[in-house]
Amino acid sequence: MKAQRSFIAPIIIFVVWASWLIYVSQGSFTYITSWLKEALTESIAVSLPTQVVSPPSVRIIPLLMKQAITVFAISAGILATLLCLINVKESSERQKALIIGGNFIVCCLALFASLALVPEASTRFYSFLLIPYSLLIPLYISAKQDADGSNLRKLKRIVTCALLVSTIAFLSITPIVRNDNDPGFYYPSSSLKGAEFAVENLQGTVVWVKEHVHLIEYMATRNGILLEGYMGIQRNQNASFISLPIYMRMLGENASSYYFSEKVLHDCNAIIFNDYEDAMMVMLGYERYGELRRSYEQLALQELNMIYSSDSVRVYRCP
Amino acid sequence: MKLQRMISAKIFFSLILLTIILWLLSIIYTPIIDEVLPADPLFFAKNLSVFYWLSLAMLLVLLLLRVAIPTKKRIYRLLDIFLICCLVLIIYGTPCLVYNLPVYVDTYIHTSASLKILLRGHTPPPLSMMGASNDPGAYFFFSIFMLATNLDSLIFMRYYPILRSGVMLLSLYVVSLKFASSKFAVLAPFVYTAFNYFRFYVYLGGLSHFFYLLFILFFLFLVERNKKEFKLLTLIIVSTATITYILAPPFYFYPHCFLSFHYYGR
Repeated sequence: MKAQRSFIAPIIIFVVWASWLIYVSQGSFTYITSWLKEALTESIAVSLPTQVVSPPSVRIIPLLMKQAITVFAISAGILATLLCLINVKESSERQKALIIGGNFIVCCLALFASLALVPEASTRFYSFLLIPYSLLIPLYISAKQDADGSNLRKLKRIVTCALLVSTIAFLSITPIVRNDNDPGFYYPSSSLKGAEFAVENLQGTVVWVKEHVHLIEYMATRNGILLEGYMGIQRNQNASFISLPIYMRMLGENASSYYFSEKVLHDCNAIIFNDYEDAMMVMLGYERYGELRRSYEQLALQELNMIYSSDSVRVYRCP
Repeated sequence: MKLQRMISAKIFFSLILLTIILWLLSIIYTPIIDEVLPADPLFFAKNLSVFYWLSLAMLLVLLLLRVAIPTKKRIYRLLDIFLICCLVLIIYGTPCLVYNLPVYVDTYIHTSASLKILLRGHTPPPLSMMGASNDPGAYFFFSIFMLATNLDSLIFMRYYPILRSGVMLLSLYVVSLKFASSKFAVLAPFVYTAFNYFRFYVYLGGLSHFFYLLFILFFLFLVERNKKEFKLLTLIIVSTATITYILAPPFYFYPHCFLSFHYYGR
């Protein structure tokens, strides 16, 4: 009877999850499958002309650092979990180690599974993993040791020193490895002004060069205009703001040959060029992207009328 | 011994004050960034003034001193809170103040989805494939936060990392006190920051991390004390975390099994 009563809470938790997952699966299933399909078949690397793509070089140091930090955190966490479990004296500490260690191992498994299935999501699982990890390290350092294990005590001293030194080292390099330094992750204020101009003045099909139309969506909502859509496309009854790759897909054309084409200039009502993604593309390995984008804009300048210009955004309207 | 402890506490607080002064100087002497960024991964680090590195070095020295020198428990806690505040300002506050506008493109999409809830008066339908229909908890929180504080969305996006990191790191410290000794509990926020190479921005997962942390705490209480209130709180946290971030549920699987076996064993 007692055992039956104690199952009530886990059963309620399970019912809450299941009902929620059924609810979200309506929209998420389509999203996840399209995301997987895109990841497997059509990344931006194949939608760009082949001569644009070259091996990433500029970004290699921060990427290697991030990988080193991930590997260190996972291996140190597993080692700390094992040492805590085999070497702690008190049963309460053992229980704590089991709680945090178990959570940590589950996070590791989720991370490894995501690396195999959806690599893009691995960073999201890694950020979850850090919560039990950061609780595990102080627990491991402060755990009372078994008096018999002199070798384990030596090992603990070495591991503790390594953890403290690595924490200090990784803290020192945060301005280098954090996303703060990724170009393309920052929109200057001139880009915001350009997006505001676009949502207030443009109608018809407006193509935004590159992936996202986040700024357009944000500036519209900020000004009380409701645009609907997802990621690469935002629209209302007056205008459709579409990113160039999505527009190519809508035309049903082969994206790799038409990515920067005259057809786009003639088909849409207006086209917006922005500079802030050029550096990001170079960092991702598309070293000739900026050059190609500029020559394409030169073509637009010859054929279309420039109606807006700021430091980083230019808007052209078809005649 | 008591005098020695008092002196060491005074030295600590003076050093913390010096760290904050150095950080303020770093903000004054670092040029504000509002341009298209170059393809240089070291751009942000190169842009920072020498005072930033001095304040960071000071903070790390303070951390080592704090772990090495014995002090009273009450003073420990006060010192720890000041140290965590310094950590928040130096690591998370600096980019918020150095960049003229919010950083990271996804900040804009999440904030616009939250603003759309205020415009519409409800979340979008589930088939629209919008994040706000999958994770309404987080978007509701952001929209209600902006509504209640009457903050401009740009200001909210720009300074949210300071608020979020402050709450997260202090909570991590409090939870760590339940697991580790008070001497080493302060390491938890430092370890979290050192190994975390993501920026905090207006992001759904960030809120979910906070719930996950709380859940670990209540999970411990449940195992140790098995009281009704903790069961209820755990249930509320799991439900809230589930509607806050779509990727959260797998992380509650282990505690779920653990608790089931734990109760069954009794």
